Amino acid sequence: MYIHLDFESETPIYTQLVEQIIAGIAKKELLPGERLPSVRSLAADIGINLHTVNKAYQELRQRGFILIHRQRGVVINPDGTPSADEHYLQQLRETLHPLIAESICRGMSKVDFSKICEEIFHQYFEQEGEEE
Amino acid sequence: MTHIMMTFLILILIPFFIFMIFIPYWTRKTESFGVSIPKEIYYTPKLKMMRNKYAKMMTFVSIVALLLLLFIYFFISKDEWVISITYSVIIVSYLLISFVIYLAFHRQMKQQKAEENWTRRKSQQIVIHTEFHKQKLTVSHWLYILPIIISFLTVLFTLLFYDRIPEQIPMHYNFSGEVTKLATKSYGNVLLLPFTQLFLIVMMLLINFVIAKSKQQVSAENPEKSMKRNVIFRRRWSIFTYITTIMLTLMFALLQTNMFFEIHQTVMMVLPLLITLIVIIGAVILSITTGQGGSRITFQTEKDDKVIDRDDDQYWKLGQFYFNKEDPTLFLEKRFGIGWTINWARPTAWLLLLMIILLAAGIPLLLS
Repeated sequence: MYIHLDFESETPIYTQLVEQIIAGIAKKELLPGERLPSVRSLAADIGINLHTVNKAYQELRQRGFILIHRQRGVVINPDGTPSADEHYLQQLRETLHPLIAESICRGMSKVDFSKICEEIFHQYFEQEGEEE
Repeated sequence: MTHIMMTFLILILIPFFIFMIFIPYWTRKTESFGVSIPKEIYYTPKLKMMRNKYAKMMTFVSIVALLLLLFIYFFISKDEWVISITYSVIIVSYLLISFVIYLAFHRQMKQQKAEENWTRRKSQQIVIHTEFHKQKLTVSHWLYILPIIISFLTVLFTLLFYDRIPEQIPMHYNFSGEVTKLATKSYGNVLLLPFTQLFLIVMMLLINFVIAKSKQQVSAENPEKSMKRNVIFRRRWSIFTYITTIMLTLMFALLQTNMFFEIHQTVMMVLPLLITLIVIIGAVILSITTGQGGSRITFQTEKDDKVIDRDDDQYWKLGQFYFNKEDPTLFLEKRFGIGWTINWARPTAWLLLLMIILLAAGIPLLLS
């Protein structure tokens, strides 16, 4: 899959990396068991510090998206990403809270908000259809 | 020095000059005189004029260099030594002058970039593909076993036929094929040629590694096409490197065989020059058809002009020397020219260069 990184964005590079790899898994552009480049190779291709890539990979590992083997290198979790558990739902609620609050302040209705969510969901499944 | 030799020397210079004259036309379209630019700017009349002017200036310098060489040959001296020195001096000064001309254009380009806000309202990105290095980018490194076997055979035959080699062996020839320096036979100086041969093969194998491992440089404007171009670029140069290696290996084997089986003298003189000529012309043709990073390979274009490559001018000193401490990369594409360069901020890259130079200088010293 292609990874696009914007160096002028306010989002740190490592966060962009994490988000894009998760998006790649969601779009099935990255499949379970697929190998990702090593820390060194990815850092060299992007032209950034090894530490930045390492930080992104460590976060992805902690969240269960990838496994880091000593010999086989970095692979997308072959068993698939762990399903949403109570802990994740709690986290999701916390993340959504301020976003919904701001949307309400800006005069959006429940329907408006749900519509955007639906659109985004749709994008993921639509792109999957195009790729194959 | 004969007319034939002089013709060869000039024939070798001409493709080299052509290569130097047209460099601005061979770089990626996202670069101009060592400065990164949005692709569409490359085609503006102003930049076209700059490239044109550069080519004209370089053509002038090239013609002066050729005339100078001919003048010295016809009117000053046909002496081998004088011509050798002149030839080297002309090449070194030519490289220096071309760098000075480049710097002037580089400054002008930088100034223009600062004045005209080309990158405004465009998102600067870096795009990479996670599978890039998994593709077939070069010929297999294992193919280099063939020239290495030839090289070992050369050593083996030299040792087998050691007695047939005359007591006094030629160490240096002039351009007319006359021996100018003799040395008493020893295992060291008899093996000088095969060791040089082996060194060259290892060098070429290293180049093949560099082609495979160097930084993935995919343009953000059009990642898919850019990646295809880059893969073709690497494959073509890798094949070219391999063919060159085979030709050079065979040439060295033949030169060595000449030590114990007499081969026609003209063949021995003309062959090395002919091979040099073939390699240089091959490189020029490859540059014309492929361009740096595959930039001259055309596909049907589809473009997205809101996205451009990340501006990394700050890491390119004088537009030609990449120095980025953060970047773990060792090898990457040259900005002005064709081929690869090193990240000067990495000590490993420095060490590698130093090792090559030491080996190149050390082999003749150790063996003779």
